[in-house]
Amino acid sequence: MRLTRRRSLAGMAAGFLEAGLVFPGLARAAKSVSANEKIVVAHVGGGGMGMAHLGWFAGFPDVETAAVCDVDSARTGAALARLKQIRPDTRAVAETDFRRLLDRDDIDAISYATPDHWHALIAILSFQAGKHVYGEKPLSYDMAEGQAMLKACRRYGRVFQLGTQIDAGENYHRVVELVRSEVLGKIHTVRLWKLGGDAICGFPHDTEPPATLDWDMWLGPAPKRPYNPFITPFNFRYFWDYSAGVFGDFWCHVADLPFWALDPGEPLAVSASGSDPLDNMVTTPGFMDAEFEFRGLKMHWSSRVPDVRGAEGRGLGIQFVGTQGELVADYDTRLIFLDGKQHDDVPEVPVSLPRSPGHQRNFLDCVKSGKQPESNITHASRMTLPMHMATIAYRLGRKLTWDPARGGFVSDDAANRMRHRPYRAPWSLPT
Amino acid sequence: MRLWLALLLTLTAAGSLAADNSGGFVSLFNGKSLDGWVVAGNPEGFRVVDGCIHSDGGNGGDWIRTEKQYGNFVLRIEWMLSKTGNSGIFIRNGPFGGGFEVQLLAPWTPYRDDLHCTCSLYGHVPANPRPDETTLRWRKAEVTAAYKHITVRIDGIKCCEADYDQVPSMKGLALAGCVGMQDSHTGEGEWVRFRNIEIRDLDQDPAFVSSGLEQADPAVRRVAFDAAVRLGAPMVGPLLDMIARGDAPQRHSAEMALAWIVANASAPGATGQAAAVRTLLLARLESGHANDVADRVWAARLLGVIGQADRRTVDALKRALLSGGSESAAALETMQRIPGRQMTDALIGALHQVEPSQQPAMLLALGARKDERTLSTLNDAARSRSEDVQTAAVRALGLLGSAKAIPVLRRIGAGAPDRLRQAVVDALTAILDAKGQDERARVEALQAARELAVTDAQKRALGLSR
Repeated sequence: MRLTRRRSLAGMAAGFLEAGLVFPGLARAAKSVSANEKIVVAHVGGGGMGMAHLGWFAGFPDVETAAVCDVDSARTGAALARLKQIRPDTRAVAETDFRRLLDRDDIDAISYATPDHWHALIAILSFQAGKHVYGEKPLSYDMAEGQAMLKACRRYGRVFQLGTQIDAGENYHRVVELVRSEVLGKIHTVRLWKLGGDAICGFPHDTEPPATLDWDMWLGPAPKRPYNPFITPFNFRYFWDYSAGVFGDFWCHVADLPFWALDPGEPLAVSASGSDPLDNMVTTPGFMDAEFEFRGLKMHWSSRVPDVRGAEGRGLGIQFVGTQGELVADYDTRLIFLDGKQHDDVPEVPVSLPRSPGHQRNFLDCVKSGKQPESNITHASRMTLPMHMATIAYRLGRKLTWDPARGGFVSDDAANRMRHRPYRAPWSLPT
Repeated sequence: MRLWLALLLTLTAAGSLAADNSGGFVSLFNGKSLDGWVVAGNPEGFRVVDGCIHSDGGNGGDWIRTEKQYGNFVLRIEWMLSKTGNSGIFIRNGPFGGGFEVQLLAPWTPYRDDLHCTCSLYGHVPANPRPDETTLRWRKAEVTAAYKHITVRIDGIKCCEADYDQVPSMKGLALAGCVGMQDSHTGEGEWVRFRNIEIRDLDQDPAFVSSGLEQADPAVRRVAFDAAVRLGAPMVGPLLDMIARGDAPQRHSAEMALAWIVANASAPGATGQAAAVRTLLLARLESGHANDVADRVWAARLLGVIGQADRRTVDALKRALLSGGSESAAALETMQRIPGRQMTDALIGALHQVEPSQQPAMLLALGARKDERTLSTLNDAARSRSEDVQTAAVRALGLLGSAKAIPVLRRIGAGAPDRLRQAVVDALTAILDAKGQDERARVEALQAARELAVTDAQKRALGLSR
């Protein structure tokens, strides 16, 4: 069934039909910015990725940057200085609490690059405040969050683009055309990988947080713990309380391609294994393998490069194995094994997909048109679901079976409880 | 480290003193068959004769090993060699080697040096003192393998001691593997016999496993970690102690090991194990030491993974919640997670025992439980004079998603300032979109939300504007 093709609005409309109450104007995201107006963007998260967001959006003549927000006030100064280099006339302000951005009527869109445990709250509160959202991957910290984001995005009729920037590139588009053309035959196996490794940090002492950092706000809905200088910036990724390791960091970038090309539905079973990091304060495994069983398709994740044709030398990759041939891709390149030969392309397969105007440009165009963008929430939540299933299977150390009709694991109460990690007050997940 | 050495000395002393089969020793050989053993070479190479495992020279048995793997243990074997026999005891050996051989040898034809004589750790550590090697009589060997330390006694006399870190050739070699015996390999007519083979598996001893987790050596910590997880419930107490009082690496390993034990106990069908582990976690939550709280926090969190709430669990969590300590938030997280009427009632009870400043967190947890029984409590709280309590109650009613909350929300919203009214509309919208909501309730919720909508975003979401 190709109805669910993510570029279409079928997913959006279907959501409202399910909901039983279809409002005119809501089947597509409501327009709030006319074609000639400027789009006012505010940024949440001023780390490395946040600075990239800032640079991207400030580079568009039809964007005005309203604010830069970070729980560490030391970062917002640097972000504003960077912005001044691009837009000397900027009137952007610095904030430390993103909720102040949501109170401002002039802001059209929120672009966030925060630790994973904040993604859902910022997105949902932004939707509720009528903002469009460009949000970093992974979509969500846990399964319930992903569902709540989907629901809120639809209810408030907003545009959401997940920060899987590779999606917009030429290579992913061409690979999708090749795979869908069935020149490789029927795809029965997909391998995904990203070279992992242990975070080497030992056991640094907890300390007082820097005076500029609101540590309690950084933790947000996550369990309270003392500040530790290793955790932020960046290394929050290696703690289950905030993220899901290298696996969670790269899943969305890598899984994006097979979910786009094959739309395999929800896994029916998942298992995962790895090694516990005993020698460093981190909690996620440096290396992790996961196996997914879809209807008619097996998918494997590894944080080691698999021993398959074309994988050598690629620290990250996606392999499609079909009945007629194979294709190995990474972000920018691909190799096709067909008829006993190696190819870069199969010219007979027509170019059928419209190319992206660029990942951020696509988002801005959708804010103006009300269409859903390339990495929209329907696609994003579908492809992120298996990631959450694998982290639960890993943490419980057992194979889990999934009932797509019920949206739950079969006969495993503990696994079902882990679909959501309760929030620390005063935060709650609007489900 | 010193503690571990003391423990090791106690173990070996106890081992040598105990002449009988008590003290945790398990027989590996039943005297009748080779059940539990695998012959690596020709299956005929080892057979049972006169209640002994017998190997004739030249039969190509290669070696015989246990099916099970052993990391740390005290192994006792009696052996007898023919006149010029040559055999050995293997420890920590993989199916294809890689471990160690304790040499068993006749001292003559040809002469072997101390590095290759009876009791030597063959090729690694010489015998010292070299034991009496007279053949054609029963001898007793006792091999103790405790992490990186190996000791061999022959007829009660310590003749070989080895440490992985002191012997260059032992560096990086395996800390676990099979136990086994070599065949007789000095030709036809020569033979070897083994009997009274018994082992005390130190990895079954929580104190020993804890001593491994306390070591700085990563390789030792890793095997102790795996042993702790395999051991399960008996490790819960020692691991909680380590979480309370260990240094950072110990605490880290202990938290992870305990999480695995709980994960295993939470598996469908593991109800016995779940009950045992839960009881031990509860005991810690109930007692604990006043100055240590990390163990109680971890115990409270992990109870949420195990699930199941009996009276005792509910009471312990409620007490932890009301303690005002760091375990309070973890207890609330777990109480939100575990379904059941008793838990709902306990949370409602707790709500009435705390200051208003602590109530919002409990109200949100109550709402997230999605239990209709919380409705009247949330309704009451929504009329509170504290703005924080009132707002939290309104949000909680949205989380609950019950249509029965619509009249209350409508009433609160009607006269409320914008901020609160906005929260009321969000709650009504959540009720409208709640899973499984019936059509009449949806229409009612929509109507109420439309009447009260404050912001443009709300009006748009409710279909009042484009």
